[in-house]
Amino acid sequence: MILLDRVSVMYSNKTVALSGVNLHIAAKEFVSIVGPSGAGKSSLIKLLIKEADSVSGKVIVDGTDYDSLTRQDIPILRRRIGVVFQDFKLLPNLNVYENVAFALEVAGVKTKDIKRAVPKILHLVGLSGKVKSYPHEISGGEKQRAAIARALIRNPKILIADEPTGNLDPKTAWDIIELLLKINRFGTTVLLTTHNKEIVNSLKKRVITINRGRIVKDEKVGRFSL
Amino acid sequence: MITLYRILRQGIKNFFRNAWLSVAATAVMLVTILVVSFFIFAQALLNQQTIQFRQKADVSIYLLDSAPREMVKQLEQELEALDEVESVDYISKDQAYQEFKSSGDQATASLLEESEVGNPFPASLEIKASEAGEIEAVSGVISKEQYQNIIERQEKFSERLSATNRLLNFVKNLGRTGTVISIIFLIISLLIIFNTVRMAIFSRRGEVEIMRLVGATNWFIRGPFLVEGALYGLIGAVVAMVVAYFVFNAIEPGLVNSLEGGSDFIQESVDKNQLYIVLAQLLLGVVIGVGSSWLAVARYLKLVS
Repeated sequence: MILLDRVSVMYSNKTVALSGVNLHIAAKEFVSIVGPSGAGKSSLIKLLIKEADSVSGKVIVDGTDYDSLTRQDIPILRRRIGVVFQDFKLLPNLNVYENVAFALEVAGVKTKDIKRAVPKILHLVGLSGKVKSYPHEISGGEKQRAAIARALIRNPKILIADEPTGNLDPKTAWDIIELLLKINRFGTTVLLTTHNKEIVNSLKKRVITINRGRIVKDEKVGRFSL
Repeated sequence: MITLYRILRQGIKNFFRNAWLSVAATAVMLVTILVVSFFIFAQALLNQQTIQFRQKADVSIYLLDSAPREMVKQLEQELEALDEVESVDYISKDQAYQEFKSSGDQATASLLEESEVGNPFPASLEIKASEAGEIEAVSGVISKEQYQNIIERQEKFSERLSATNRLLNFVKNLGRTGTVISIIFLIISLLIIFNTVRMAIFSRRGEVEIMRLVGATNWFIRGPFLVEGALYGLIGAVVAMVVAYFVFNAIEPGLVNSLEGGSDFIQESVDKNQLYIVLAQLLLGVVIGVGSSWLAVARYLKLVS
C-alpha cells in the first residue's frame, strides 16, 4: 500500500528531514509512528500527502508513483488519502455536517449523494447528535471525530492520523483510538503518529520509531521507546 | 456544473461574510466607474459641441447690391477651389428676404412688407469650412484688392478663428486629462481590490490551507474569490448607474441651456446608447474586479504550492 525506497526529504534551508528511508506498509495494517519532536514524523506525513517533495528515492502509494504526479494530480491524490490532524483543521464557519460534506463537494459529488453519505459517516463516528453544531460549540474529542468523518467520507484506502490525540484528555484520546481501530477493522490502512506512550504500548500493533530522519526501529508488535 | 454552482454560492457567501471589506472595495469600484463614465460622457459631449461650433464657424460674406454678377461668380469659384472650403452657396437678395420672412420675426416682416423700403437684405456667399479652424485661406482670398468693392462686410474671421482653436485645444486637452485620470483611477481601484482580496485570503488562509488538504483544486479555491471580485464590480456598476442617472437628470436642464443644440443630442445619444452604456459599465466593473482578484489569488497560490 505504501512503499518508500531510500527516500530523502530536505527543506529549503538545507535541513534534512528524512534521509534514506525504506518503508513498506501493507494494506489494512495499523502502524504507529513514534519519535521525538523534529524526528521526521511530520515530514513523512507531508511527503505522503505531497505537501513536501522528496529529493531522492521512490514513493509509491496505492500504485501511484509520486514522481509521475503533476500539479493537477495532487488534489485528486489528497482525496484518496484521508488525513486528520492534531488541530483538527475544521472550517470554523461551517457546521459539522457542512465540514464533512465539504470534502465531497470539492470532489464534485452530487448534492443528493452527499445527503445520503454524510449522516451515515457521522453515525459511524458517533456524531449524529451534533450535525448542526459549529466547531466552536463542540468538544475536542467531537472535533476530532468530525475530522475523522471528513477524512473517511471518500472511502480512502489510507487514513493518516497525525497526533490525533495530542490535544485531548486521556479518556477522549482513547475513544479516538478506538474509533481508529474500528476503521482499521473495516479495512482501511491506518497510520498513526503519536507521543502517547500508553496508547502505543497497549495497542500491540506495529511500531516504527523514527529519529533524526531515519527509521531506527520497526517492530511487528512494538513498544514506545525513545 | 455542480462545482460551478458551489463556487458561485461560496463566493456570494464570502462577499457577505466580509461585509466591510466588500463595502470598501465596492465603493472604490463605484468611484472608478463614475470617473471613467464621466470623462467618456464629457468627451462625447465636447466632441458634439465642436461639431456644432464648426457649423457655426462657417462664414457669410455679404455682398454689395452693386456687385457685378461675374465678379461674384469669380469669387465663388476661387473660394470653392480652396481645399479648406467644403462648399460655397450663393444666397440672392430675394432668397435672403424669403428666408427672413419664413424664419424671422413676423412683426418685423409685416412691417417691412408695408413699408416702402423694399428688400433690405444683401445677397451673400455662405461658406462652409471643411475643417474647423482652417479657414485662414478664406480670409486671404476675400481680402484681395479686386473684391473690395463687391463685399459689403464679412464676419470677423480672426476672432472666430482663435475661439475655434481654443475650443479645439481645450477639448483635446480635456480628452487627454480625462484619459490620464481614468487610468489613474483604474490603477487605484485595481490595487485596492487586489489588496482587499489579499486581505480576504490572508484572513482565510487557514481555510484555504484546509481546502487544499481536503483535496480542493486550485480552481475550487480561486473560484469564490473571483466571484467576490466580480460582485464588487457588478454592484459598483449598478450603483454607479443609479448615481449617474440622478446626477444626469439633475444637471441636464442646465446643460441644455448652456450648450449649442445640446438638448436633443444628449437625450438622443443617451437613449440610443443606453444598453451599450449599461453593458460597458458592468463589463468594466467585472473586468477590474475579477482581474485584481485573479492577480491576488494567483500570487497566493503560487506562494503556497
